[in-house]
Amino acid sequence: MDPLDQERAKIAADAERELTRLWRAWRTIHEMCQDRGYELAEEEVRISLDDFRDRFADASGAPDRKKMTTSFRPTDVMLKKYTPLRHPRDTEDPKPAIGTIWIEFSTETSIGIKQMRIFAQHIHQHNFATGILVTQASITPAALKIIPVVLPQIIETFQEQDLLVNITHHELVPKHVLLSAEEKKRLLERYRLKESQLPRIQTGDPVAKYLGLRRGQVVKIIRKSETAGRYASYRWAI
Amino acid sequence: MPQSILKKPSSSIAAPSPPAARSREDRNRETALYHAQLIQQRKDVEALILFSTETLLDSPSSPTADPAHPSSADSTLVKNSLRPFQPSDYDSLIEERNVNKQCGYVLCPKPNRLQDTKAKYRILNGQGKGNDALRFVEKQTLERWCSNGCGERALYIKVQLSEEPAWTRTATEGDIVLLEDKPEIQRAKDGKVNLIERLKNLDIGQDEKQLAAQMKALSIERGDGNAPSRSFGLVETDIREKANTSGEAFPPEPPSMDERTDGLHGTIEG
Ligand SMILES: [Zn+2]
Repeated sequence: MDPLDQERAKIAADAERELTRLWRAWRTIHEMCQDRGYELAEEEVRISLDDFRDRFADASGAPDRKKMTTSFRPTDVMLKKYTPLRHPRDTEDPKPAIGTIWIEFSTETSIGIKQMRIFAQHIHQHNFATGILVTQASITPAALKIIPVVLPQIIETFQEQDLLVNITHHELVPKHVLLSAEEKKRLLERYRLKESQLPRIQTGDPVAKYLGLRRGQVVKIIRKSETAGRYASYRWAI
Repeated sequence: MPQSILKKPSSSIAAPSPPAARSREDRNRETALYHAQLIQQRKDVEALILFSTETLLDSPSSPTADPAHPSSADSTLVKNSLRPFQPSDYDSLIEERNVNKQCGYVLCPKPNRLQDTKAKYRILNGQGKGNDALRFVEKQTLERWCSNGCGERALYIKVQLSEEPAWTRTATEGDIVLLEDKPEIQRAKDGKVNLIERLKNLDIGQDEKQLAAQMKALSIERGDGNAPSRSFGLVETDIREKANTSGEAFPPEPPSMDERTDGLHGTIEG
C-alpha cells in the first residue's frame, strides 16, 4: 500500500470506530428512555449498525453528531406514575410532572457556560420538560451550576463514554423500579414509616441517573436470591 | 455598567449574641434564623458569581482592546465583578474563557495559545543560564493565556482574591488592583531592573504559588504595603499549609515580610 492509501485506510478505520461507539451510546439512550416509560417503537430501540450508519454517517463514514437529536413523549403509564397525589386543597387534578424529552449529542469538544446556556435556551423555547445533553468530554463546574437555575425544566447530562454499555443490563445490577406517588404512600403506610427512615440512594448514583430519579422519589429494588427467590427493598432518592 | 453589586453580607447579619439571660428557645430561634440567612446569602453570592462569570466571558468590550491598556469602563467592570470571587471561582472563569478559546486574562480579547502537541509537557528554552536554561511546562498551563504577559496580569489579580467565601467575609475588601495600575512595576519591566524578566522565567501555573509569592514580594517592595494586604496574608498562609502537609518537594517558602530587604534575587533563585 502506498502511504496515501495507508493514511486513507487509517482515517476510514477511525471513522468506523467512532461510528460504532456512537451507535452504542445512541442505543443505550433509547433503551434508557424506554425503561423510563417514554413511547418508543421497538425498531427505534434496536436500530442496527447499518441503519445507524445510513442515518447518521457523513461522507467520510464518521458519525455526524449534528443529526443525532431526537425526542419522545411519555406513555400514559409514565404520565400516571409522575402525577402527584391530589391534595385536599387542590381545586383541580394535579398535572403530571413529566413531558416530552429532548435528546441531543453535542458537537462541541468542551462544554462551558455558553454551550450549556444555548442548550437550556433550546429546551426553554420548545417547552420540553426534560433535555438530555450527551457530551464528548466533561462539563465545566460553572456550566453545571446552570442546571438548577432552569428548574422546573430538567437538564440531564451524560458523557458518551458512560453510555457505551447499558449498566442496567449487567447481571450484578438488580432491577430498579420507580414507585408512583400513590405506591410510595401505600408503602410508607403499610410499614408505618417516614420516608426518611428508608435507606437512601443518591440522585448521582449511576442507576439513579439512568432512571432520572428525582429527590424524594422511591425506587423498588428487586434482587434474585438463590435462597429466598426474589426479594425487594426500597430506597429513597436524595 | 454594573455598579457595586455585592451586598456586604455578614455585616448585615448579627451573629447570635452571647447566651446571656435569654431563654433556650430564644437562642435556638436566633441560631436557626442566623443559619437560614447565611444559607440565603450564600445562594445569593453564588448566583452573583455565576452571573459575573458569564458577563466576564464577553470582556473586554472591544475585540481590539489592548490588555496592557484596558478601557476604564472594562477595568471598572472587572474590578467590581471580581470582588466576591474566591481564587477557585477565578480559576473557573479562566477555564470558561479557555473553553471559548479566549485568553484567560479577563481584559484580553485574544485567543489563548494552543499547543500543537499531544504531549503533556513542553520543554521551553529559558532565558537564563544553568537551571534556567530549560523549563518543563505543563501544556495545559501554557494554553491558558495568549502570552506570558497575560499570565502575569491574571495571576496578579488572583493573589488579591480572598480565600474566604464572600458570604462570611467581615472585613471590607480592598479594591482589586491591575498590574497596569502599578507604574512602578511597569518601570521595572521596561527599565534595567530585571525583576519581571526573572519572573517570566518561572513557569506560570506550575509554580503558581511561588510566582504568587514573588508578585507579592514585588508589590510590597515597591511601597505597596498598604495594598489589599489581608488577601495577601491569606495567600501566604495557604502556601505554608500546603508545604507542611505534603511530603512532596516544594519550592522554597516565600520570604516573610521582614526578610524582603535582601531584594528579590535571592528569593527567586531559592
Ligand atoms: Zn492575553
